[in-house]
Amino acid sequence: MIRKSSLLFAVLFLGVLSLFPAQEGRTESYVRLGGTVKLYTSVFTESGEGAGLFPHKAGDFALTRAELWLKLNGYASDNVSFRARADLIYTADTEFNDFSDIEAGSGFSSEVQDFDINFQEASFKIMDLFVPGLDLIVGRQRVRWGTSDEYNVIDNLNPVDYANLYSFDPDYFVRHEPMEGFVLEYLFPVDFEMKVQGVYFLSFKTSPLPEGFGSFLALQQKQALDAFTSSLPVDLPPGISSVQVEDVPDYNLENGVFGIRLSGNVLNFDVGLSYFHGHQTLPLPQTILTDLTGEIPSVEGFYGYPGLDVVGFDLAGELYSVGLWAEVGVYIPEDTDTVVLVRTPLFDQEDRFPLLNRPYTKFTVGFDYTFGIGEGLYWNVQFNRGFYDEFSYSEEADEALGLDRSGFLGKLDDYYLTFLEYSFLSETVTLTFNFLLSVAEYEDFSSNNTWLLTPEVKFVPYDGTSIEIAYIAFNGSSSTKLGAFSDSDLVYVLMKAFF
Amino acid sequence: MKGPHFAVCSIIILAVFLVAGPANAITGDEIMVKVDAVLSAPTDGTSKAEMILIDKNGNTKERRLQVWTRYFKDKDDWSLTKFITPAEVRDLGFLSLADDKMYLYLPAFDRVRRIASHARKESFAGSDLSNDDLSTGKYTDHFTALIQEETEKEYVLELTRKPGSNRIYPKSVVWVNKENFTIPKMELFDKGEKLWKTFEGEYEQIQGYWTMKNITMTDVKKQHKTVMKIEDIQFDVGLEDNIFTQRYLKRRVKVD
Repeated sequence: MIRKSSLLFAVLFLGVLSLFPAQEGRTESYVRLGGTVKLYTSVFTESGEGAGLFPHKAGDFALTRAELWLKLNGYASDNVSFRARADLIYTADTEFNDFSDIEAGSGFSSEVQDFDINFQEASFKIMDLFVPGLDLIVGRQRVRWGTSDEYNVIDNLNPVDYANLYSFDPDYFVRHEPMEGFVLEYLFPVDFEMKVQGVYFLSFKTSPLPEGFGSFLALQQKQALDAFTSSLPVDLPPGISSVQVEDVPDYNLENGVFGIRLSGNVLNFDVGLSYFHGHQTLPLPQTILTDLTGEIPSVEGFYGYPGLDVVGFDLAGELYSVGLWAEVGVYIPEDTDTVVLVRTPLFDQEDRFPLLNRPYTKFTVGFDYTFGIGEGLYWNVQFNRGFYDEFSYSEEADEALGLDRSGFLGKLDDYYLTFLEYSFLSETVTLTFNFLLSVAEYEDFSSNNTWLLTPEVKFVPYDGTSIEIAYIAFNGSSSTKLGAFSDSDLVYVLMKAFF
Repeated sequence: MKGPHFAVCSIIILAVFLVAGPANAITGDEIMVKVDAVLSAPTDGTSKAEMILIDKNGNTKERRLQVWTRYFKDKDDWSLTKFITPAEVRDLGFLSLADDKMYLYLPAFDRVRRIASHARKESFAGSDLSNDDLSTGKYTDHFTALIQEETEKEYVLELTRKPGSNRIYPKSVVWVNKENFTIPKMELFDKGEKLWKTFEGEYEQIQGYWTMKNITMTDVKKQHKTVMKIEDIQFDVGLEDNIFTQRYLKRRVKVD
């Protein structure tokens, strides 16, 4: 039914477009090219040989990346604007293990020349289409929902880029992938603060995942398998593990992503009510097949992207000069079962259960305030329940698969974030002090929390350039998501020129 | 404290000053009513501004802005300000509406953020103007005025912030031109009643409205000043109300 509504939306949209005659618009073309040249480099300041996915020594570069962002925007006429952005990215990677690394290809291996072009955006907007206040935005674009800083629990239209999440480059923090589609916005003529927005993206898209993610899943499965086999009364060798992705939604009208959001102002608060329909963008286990019939135990995980609906509410305003915001997302996963199948020489056992609770809630609340010190000391505080990659797993799923844990693809954790920011010398220098505490369990707090401390200094020697230096310190339990980065403190330098 | 706010506001949003006749036995509050009236005399206006930041060593930084303003006689004015240069803040936008509603557009994130009134204390783009100076509102809504001195050409008023007002200057001294009710000079004080900033304005009559063409805001404590030159001023151009919305706040600015 829901998928049909997606199709219906697309058909209706195209039908409505065909009903209206063309309007006259003044042709006053205007084009502007701008952009950013950027270098980001980070260095580990402590050794972490056993530091999870990223073993390293102090002094090792964590990531060095040079980028050129080209931005083109302008107006085809007074009512038609366009914008595009292409990022040219070179990632330095100096891990040469043998001659093949430097001899491959036409003299330049991917190890030496790791170059990417990321087409970030290409869209155009028609204002006052057919009727005043109706805008249409077409193309590859990012549609952001939510009122809170950085992290928005209702911001699900564009999938999160997890591949760059752990780069700790602030430009890539919870970056969302652009999508191709249509956005219709209507500003009500009687109240310019009331707006309805409809979004239709042509197809489902998965989240980019960090390098080694498949191995990470396979390793998790293998650890679970070995724990299981070691509990058996027979002596079995260590198992093998494999991961497969299946049940990827087809590229068709039926699997489009759509959403609608109504926003307005009530009692001087900006409020929004939204509905999203799409799919999970992270692979979730559909079938886990454990086979003990062969000489070597094996486990195969089949992963998919089941459907997801999210009903959201957001709010922003102020009380007594203090800025306030809140977001609630009610997540309604598709009603499907995960299958756990164990094959033994004597019998087969099959369990079926819903993987996720239905529904479950993520939310965020926060406030900010500026103290009248110098040019203004800004303070921001936020609490988040559940990060993008976290889920509320069912009891059965936890019992069968042990998923009700912290870490990537883990259960809903709590995050307390705060930062202080102070600029001086006419914003030539900005000091920022960030602190994040994640709590997986309050009962055994000491072994279930992680904190992250990030002092930053940003220097603007001249207009059109900036130099940012930050230190990121991690500390906490290795069982938590950020705790995996303990012993991975690093310093980064981010330099930019704007044109 | 509304004095500085209005002075700067008039500079930035091209507040307009009408010629008015001298008054007899007038009170401070009545004078500020007249100032409010001339500030909001046009229906609307557009302009461009060059903002030059000058530190105590004479080093300068420049910003260029484009401003749209909708004036109201009986409520807070609306203003939309967009940055043209430098490149790192190009298209950054600031929307100020009635009832202290303020929004900031961050082009790097393509995002509009509601700003609470605490942000009035923050510097505007590193200048000696605060966000409070850019917001809109009537002097008489936020300040009480008492005549300190009267000369042949000017009234000198002391403005005191009304209880409950969120304006950042608790006290200011304002010089009001008797002939046209413009404000050529202001002194703005901090919570400790120490002199914080001074304001000086130069005016021209454009389309019949007295208009701020040049202003100088000096931060006495930091020994830093900001000079603003207002250009391409046009009044009563028929701006539609829907320009002062988040929809237009996100629009790219055309640079001539």
